Amino acid sequence: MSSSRPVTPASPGNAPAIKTPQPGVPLYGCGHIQLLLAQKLPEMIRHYKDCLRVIYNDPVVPQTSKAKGTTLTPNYLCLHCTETVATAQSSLKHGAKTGHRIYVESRNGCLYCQMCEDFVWDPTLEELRLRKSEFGSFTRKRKIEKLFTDAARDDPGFISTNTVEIPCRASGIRGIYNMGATCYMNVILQCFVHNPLLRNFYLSEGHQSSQCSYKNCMSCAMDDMFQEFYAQETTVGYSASNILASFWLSKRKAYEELASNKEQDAHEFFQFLTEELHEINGGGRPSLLEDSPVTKRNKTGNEPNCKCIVHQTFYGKLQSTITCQSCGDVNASIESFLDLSLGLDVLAKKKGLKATTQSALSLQKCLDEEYIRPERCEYTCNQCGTQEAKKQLSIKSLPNVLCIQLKRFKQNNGLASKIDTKVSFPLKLEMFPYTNRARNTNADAKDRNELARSCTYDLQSVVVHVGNLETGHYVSYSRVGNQWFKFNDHNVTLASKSQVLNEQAFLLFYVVQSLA
Amino acid sequence: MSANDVTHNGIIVPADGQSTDTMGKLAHAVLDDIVYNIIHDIVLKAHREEKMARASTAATLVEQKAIREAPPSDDPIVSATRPPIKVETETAIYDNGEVYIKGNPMKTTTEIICPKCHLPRLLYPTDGNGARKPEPGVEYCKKRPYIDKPYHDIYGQTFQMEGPGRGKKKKDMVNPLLQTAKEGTPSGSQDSPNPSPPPGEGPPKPISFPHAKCHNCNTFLPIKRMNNHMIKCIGGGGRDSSRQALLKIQNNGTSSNSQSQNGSTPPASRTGTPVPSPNKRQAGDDFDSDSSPQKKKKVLKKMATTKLKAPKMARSNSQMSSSNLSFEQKAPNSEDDDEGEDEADGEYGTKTAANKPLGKKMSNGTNGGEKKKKWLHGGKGGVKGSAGTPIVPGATPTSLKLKIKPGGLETKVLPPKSVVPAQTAPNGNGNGKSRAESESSQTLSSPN
Repeated sequence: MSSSRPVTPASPGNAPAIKTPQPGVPLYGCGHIQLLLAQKLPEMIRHYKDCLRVIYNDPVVPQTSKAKGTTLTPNYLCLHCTETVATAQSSLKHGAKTGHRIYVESRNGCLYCQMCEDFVWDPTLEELRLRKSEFGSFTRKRKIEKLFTDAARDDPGFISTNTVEIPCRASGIRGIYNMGATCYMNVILQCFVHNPLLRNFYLSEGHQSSQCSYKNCMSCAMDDMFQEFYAQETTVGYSASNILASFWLSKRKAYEELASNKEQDAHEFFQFLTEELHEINGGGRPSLLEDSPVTKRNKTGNEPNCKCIVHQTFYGKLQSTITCQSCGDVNASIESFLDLSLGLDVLAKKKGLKATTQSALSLQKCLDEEYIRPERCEYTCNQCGTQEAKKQLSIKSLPNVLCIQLKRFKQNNGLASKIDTKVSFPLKLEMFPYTNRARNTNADAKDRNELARSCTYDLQSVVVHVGNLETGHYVSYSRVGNQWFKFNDHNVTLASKSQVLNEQAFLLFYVVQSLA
Repeated sequence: MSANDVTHNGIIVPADGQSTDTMGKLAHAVLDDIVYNIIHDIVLKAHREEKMARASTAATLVEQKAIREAPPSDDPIVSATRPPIKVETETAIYDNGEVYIKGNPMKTTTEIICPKCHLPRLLYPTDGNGARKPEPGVEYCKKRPYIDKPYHDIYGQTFQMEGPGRGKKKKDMVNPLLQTAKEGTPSGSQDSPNPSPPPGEGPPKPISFPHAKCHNCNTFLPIKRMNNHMIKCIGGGGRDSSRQALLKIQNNGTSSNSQSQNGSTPPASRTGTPVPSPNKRQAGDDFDSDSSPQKKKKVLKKMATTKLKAPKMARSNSQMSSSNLSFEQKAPNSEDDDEGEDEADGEYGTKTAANKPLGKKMSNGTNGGEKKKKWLHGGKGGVKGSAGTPIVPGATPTSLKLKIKPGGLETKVLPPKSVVPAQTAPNGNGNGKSRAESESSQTLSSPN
């Protein structure tokens, strides 16, 4: 975290520079910024970083001005000096007196140019702002970037000669035909198609179907699908027949009975698909020669150091701490998870009557219940033998794409039924309170603020189940940019945010903010 | 544009003479500010998007002009020695590879040009909500605003509503497209594969269901049949396979007249839900669907043999799938020469026998997988859980979704044992008999 140490213009390898010119993008936000940056680039970048730091780490300071005191509405911080102005008049006055014309808006850190009388979006400074607002710091990077940063591949010349431009028409928004009760499959595939990490992996030739020697390889089928979605200009639905065939031909025992012409559980297909892709891309695929089911290792995705795309995307780590109530002995264990499952039936019971009242259950409340509140557990202490112990679950490391399953089923006397409780879920999810770092209270406020910012997730896809346990239908919603789309097999329609948020979600896919 | 040009950030004004106490004033001020902030952020976001698009338009335009005036040459010496190019438009300056903005692009630039294809972007949808007629004769970038129109998808293609909510009731029979056609004038999206015809010609055709190739046996069949086809083509591992095999055996021993409906119990949905949807009939034919265009020639030639061929393929492939052979080499073989089918069959039969233990393991594995529970089942169209019931009346409850109990292990192992020997008998009677059975079941199972 470089933000804690003072950034000097002289620090080696960190010399501020204008963003390299790109075709179709002007070098500066406006003529006035151009003049300023051409003269005092290092100084202005330092000032701007200071402004952003104070805006994002300690929001009270920029919201306070001499003239108005502390306000909720935006103030304007002078980029040149330490002045904070609250209104247009006072900024004009300040500008006339000092000649300072560029201001930083105090809520989001956007630049305001007094000469243009408009907000300006300067590529160089805007990059800093996005980095700060999304990563929490100017230098923090997600681990995933290592996978994609390859010095040779970053060269623009290399890119232009070795890649194909995505056609304007191809947006990756297509339906998938129902092949006979395969909507459980379609919704998961749609979620995968709109998953930025998986998309980048397959579009950057993470797995080339032309170079794969396996027959009916699921990863090849996925590769074909991504090519179809992002490289073709067709607007009609996609026939995922090769994925279906790979699915049927895959000899994964635990999911064997998933392959049938009956309706199935989407979450199980998700598990199947991730395991399958992990095995293919993680190098754990047994060769064709020793292809007996016995030698096939039962992969559960628990290998800690797997670097495959599935692990990089979906897997996080969960820490469970069991504390003995009499002697205080602590027993901690860590396991990796593919998704967070929230059993609505258990939660409803815990909440007791509260759940039946008007107050709707929210996702955050469910997470509170699972990952903040300690629970009693059956455990015999190694030290003193008492059976009173408390179990505390928390998240040790968060995945890049967080999948949350709301278990909408309960069993009453052996009869399963679906829970139709509405659980509200946010567009932006703060996961910081559920991590074990949140419990580490000695971190200072600034660090916590930065951490919390890097633990913010944006909603990417929602899978919804309509109907009852025996039969029903799956639809999914996915976000492309700021627009939501509803995917109902081959039908794709626009969806509003409120429509999405009012759905009875079954699976939620959140993407970490800095990647979304 | 500046937020602070508004003299007061007021949005909610209390009525005159309405007395407010201190807390009321405070609450009012806080609410005011919060609403202001929300709007401020939304507008700022939209502004950012728009202004960056326009700035990039200005940059693209000036770059294009620079290229026109001094086309880039392939010769590196020429391009290196050439004097730096400086081009200027009303909105931007191009100076030797770098682009500078002139003025405020929000004021100077009016249209948005795609940075990739350099064609203007269409700013309004062509149909549905908020539609505007595009300027005739202008070629737009192919990235268009999405269409928001009932019973149409984002590209303006129509579809019939299906699934839950569209049943047999009278109102469900009314084609909503007919009504919308009366109200609005579907101008038709320009490049959708099946553009809506001008008004008066009836409703536009909904998206048709294509045919797709089965990647296992390379036959073309309607997309809606694909999953059911998999059972026959790959089969083997499905949760119903053991049950079906068991039924086959039981029916074999007890009643002879049930032969017509036994064999490999047809997939549940074969009988189909009685919903008279137009796609249903088409969906009924699987192998003998002569509507698949790519396959037409072959089908015509072998019309008589298709039905004979089909069961064989289905069976052999299902066996092979459990015996880990490469399918691609075998499947076309069995498809193409019908004369040599006896030999081929014998060959498959022995292979299966050799791999018998494997079948056992598979069923064990299935049992192990029982720990996982199936919960929310989703599907659509004809393949409803209830569809399976009418086939074998005696076994109605079992043909529904049931967990296989540990005791069911024996019955699971049974089928391969008793079926396989019959087939292993080289070209014997048993072989022919089982063939006949599966034939009859096959032909019957596709009710047309």
